[in-house]
Amino acid sequence: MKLEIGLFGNPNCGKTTLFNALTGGNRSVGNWTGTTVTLDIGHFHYKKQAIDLVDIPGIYSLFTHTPEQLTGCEYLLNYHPDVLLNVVDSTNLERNLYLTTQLVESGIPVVVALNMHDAMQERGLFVDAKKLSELLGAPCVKISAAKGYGIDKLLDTIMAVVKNPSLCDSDRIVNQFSPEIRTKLEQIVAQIDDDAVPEHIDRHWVGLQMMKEHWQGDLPEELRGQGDAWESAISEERYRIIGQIVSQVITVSPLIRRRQLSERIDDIVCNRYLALPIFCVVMFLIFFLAFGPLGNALNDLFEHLFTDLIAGWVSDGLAAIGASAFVSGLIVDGIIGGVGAVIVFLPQLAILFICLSLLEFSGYMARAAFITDKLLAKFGLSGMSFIPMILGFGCSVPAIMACRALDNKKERLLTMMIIPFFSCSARMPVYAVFAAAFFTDKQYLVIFALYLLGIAVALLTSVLLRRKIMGKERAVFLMEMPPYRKPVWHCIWSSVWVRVWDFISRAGTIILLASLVVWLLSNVNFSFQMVGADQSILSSIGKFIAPVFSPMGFGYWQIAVALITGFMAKEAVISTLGVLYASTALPLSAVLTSLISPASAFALMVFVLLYTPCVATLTAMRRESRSAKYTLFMMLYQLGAAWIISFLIYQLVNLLI
Amino acid sequence: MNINDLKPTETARIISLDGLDAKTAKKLRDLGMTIGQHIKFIQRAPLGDPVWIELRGYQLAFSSRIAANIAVERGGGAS
Repeated sequence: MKLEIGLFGNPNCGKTTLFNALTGGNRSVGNWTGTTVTLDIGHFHYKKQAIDLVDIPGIYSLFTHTPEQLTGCEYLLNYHPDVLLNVVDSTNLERNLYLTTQLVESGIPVVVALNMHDAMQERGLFVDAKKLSELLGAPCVKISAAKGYGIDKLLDTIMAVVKNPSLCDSDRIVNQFSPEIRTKLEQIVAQIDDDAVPEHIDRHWVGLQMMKEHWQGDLPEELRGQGDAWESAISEERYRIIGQIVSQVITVSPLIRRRQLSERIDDIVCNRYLALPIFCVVMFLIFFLAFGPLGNALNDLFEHLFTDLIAGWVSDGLAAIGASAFVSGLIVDGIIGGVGAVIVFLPQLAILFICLSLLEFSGYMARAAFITDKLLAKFGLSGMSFIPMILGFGCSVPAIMACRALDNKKERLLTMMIIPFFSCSARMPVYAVFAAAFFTDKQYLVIFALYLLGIAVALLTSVLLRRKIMGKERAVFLMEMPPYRKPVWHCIWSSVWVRVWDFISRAGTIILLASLVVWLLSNVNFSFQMVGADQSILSSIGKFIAPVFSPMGFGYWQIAVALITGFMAKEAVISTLGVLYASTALPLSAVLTSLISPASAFALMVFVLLYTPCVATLTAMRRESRSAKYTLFMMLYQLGAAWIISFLIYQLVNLLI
Repeated sequence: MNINDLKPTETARIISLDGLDAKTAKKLRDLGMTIGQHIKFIQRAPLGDPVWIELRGYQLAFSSRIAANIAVERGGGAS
C-alpha cells in the first residue's frame, strides 16, 4: 500500500526545502478534481515503503476564504491522506502553531516538523519537543530541512503514527476553548448530518467551520451568531491557548540575546536613504550578470558548439552515409538550425533564473516589495504585485501563478493582465540576435531600452485598466517580512533546474516540431512538390499577412511566418527565421541586415516584446483568472498595443534619423 | 491613537481592530494580531508607506491605510 502524506505549512516555513529534501526532486504534477489548482506530488521510498507527498500551497489558516486555503480544505475533505505533515518554523512558533491547531482538529493524524532547529540554537532558544507533542496532541520532531538534520526521525515518527493513530489526539486543543465556545460548538455538532461529512473528518472541525460567518447561513436560526463574532472569538481563543503552550515549551538562554543579524542587515538594506539606491543596484546587477559579458561569453561558447561543431559533424556524417539533400536539409537546417538557434541562450537563462531564485530564497524579494509599494501605488498596484512582476522577467507562467499571493481578486486580475509586458526570458533570444546584427556596439543599450519599454507599457496599462477592474477600490499591502536566510544551494539549484529543464524540453518538443513543420512547409507547395521557398505553402500564408507589417518596414513573408510561430513560444521567432534563411548559406545576422533597416529591426523587437503572449501564458491566464473574456480581451489588447507602439516608434526613429 | 502614531522601536498594545473592514481584520487576527497583543514598531518604508512592525516574534508589513485603523495604546513589554 502506498502511503499518502499531505504537506502543510505557513508561507516561508521551509516547506519547499523539506519537500525537496524528502523527494530529491522526484515530482509530478497532479491535477486534482475538485480542487482549483494543480498540486505537486513527490514520490519517494522509506524503509521499502512507497510514499506520495502532496504539496499543499503555503497557508496561514484553514478557516478563511482565499484560493489556497480552500485548496487545503478541499484536500482534507475529499482525499484520504494517511498523515498530515505540518512544517513549522520554530523561530516563529506562535504564528505557525495557529495552523497546526486547526490541522490537529481535523481528526487526520498530524506529525509536526519543528523546522529551523539550527537557527533556534543560534538564537539561544530551546523547544521542549516532547512537552509540545503532549500539549498539542500531535508528535513533534525537531528537524533542519536545509541541513538534512532529523529527517529519518521524522519519517520514523510518521510510520509510527500510521501504525498507531492514537498517538494523536484531535480533541486536545478543542477541549481548552472557553466554555461559551464549547457549548455552542457541541450544539452545532449535534445538528450535523453524519452523511454529509466524510468519515475521516472530526465533527468538531466541521462544527468550527460552520461557525464561520461564511457558513452560518446553513445553520438553524437560533444557532447563528452576530456576523463574524464567533469567528473572531475562536481566533482569539486559539491564540490564547497557543500562548499558554508556547510559554511552557520555549526556554530562552539568558546568555545569548544579541541583536539578530537579519535586523542589522535591514538597518542598511531598508535604510531610509540607502534602500532605493541598493534596490536599483541589485536590479542592475541581475541584468548585468545575465546579459553582460559573462552571459554573452557563455552564449558564444554554446553557439560555437552548436552551429559550428555539431552542425558540421552531422552534415559531414550525413554526407558520408550518402543521405539525400532532403534528409540532410531536414536535419541540418530544420532541426539543428531551429533548435540550435534557441538552445544557445540556455546559459543566460540559467543565470537569470539563479538570480531570481536567490532573491526569493534570501528574503530580499519581500523587502523589495516593501520598498516599491508606494511607487506602484501611483499606478493602481501595490508592493504585493512586485514579486509576480519581477518573476515575469523569467517566465510569465510562474509569474501569473505567483499572483495567488494577492488576496484581493481584482488586484490579482489587474496584476495578471500586465505581467506579459514584462519581457520574459524566451523573448531574449530574439533581442539578442537582432541587437547583435544591427546595433553591435550599442546592443546592451538597445536591449535595456526594450526592458524599460515593457515596464512602461505595463504600468501604463495598469493606469488604463485600474478603473475598469478595481473600480473605486485601492490596492492594499499586507505581507510577512521573513528574516534573511542563507541560500541553500541545493534548493536554489532544484528550483532553477525545473525552469531550465522546461526550456530544454520546450526546445526539444515545441521548437523542434515547429522547426520541422516550418522547414517542410517552406519547401513544398500546395501539391506537395519540392519547390523553392518562394513558391512554398508557407510563403503563401506569410505573403497574405506580411502587408500588415509593411508600415514598419518588415513586411516580409518570412518574418510574418516567424511571428506566427512565436505564438507557440516566443523563442520560435528566431528558430523559424533560422530555418527559413538557412538555405541562403549566410549567417542569419547577415541576411537580416541586408533585408531591413535598423529602425525596422528595432520596431520588430518592440513588436515581439509587446504582442500576444505565448499559448502557455494564455492558458495560465485563463486558468488563474477563470475568465475567458479577460483572457481574450488581453490577447487583443496586446496585439493592438504592439502594432501601434511599434508603428509609432518606427515613424519616430525615421523622423529623428 | 493608531499604529501610524508610533515611532521606530516603540512598543504598543492592540486595543481594537473595529475600524478595519471585516476581511482585513480577519486576516490580521489569523496572523496573530489579537486584542491585547503587544507589538513593536520597526520602521516606515523609505517612501513613507507601508509600515513594518513586529509581533509574536515575527515581522509583518502593511499599508498605512490599514495601520490607521488599528487602535493601540503606547507601552507594554516587547512582543
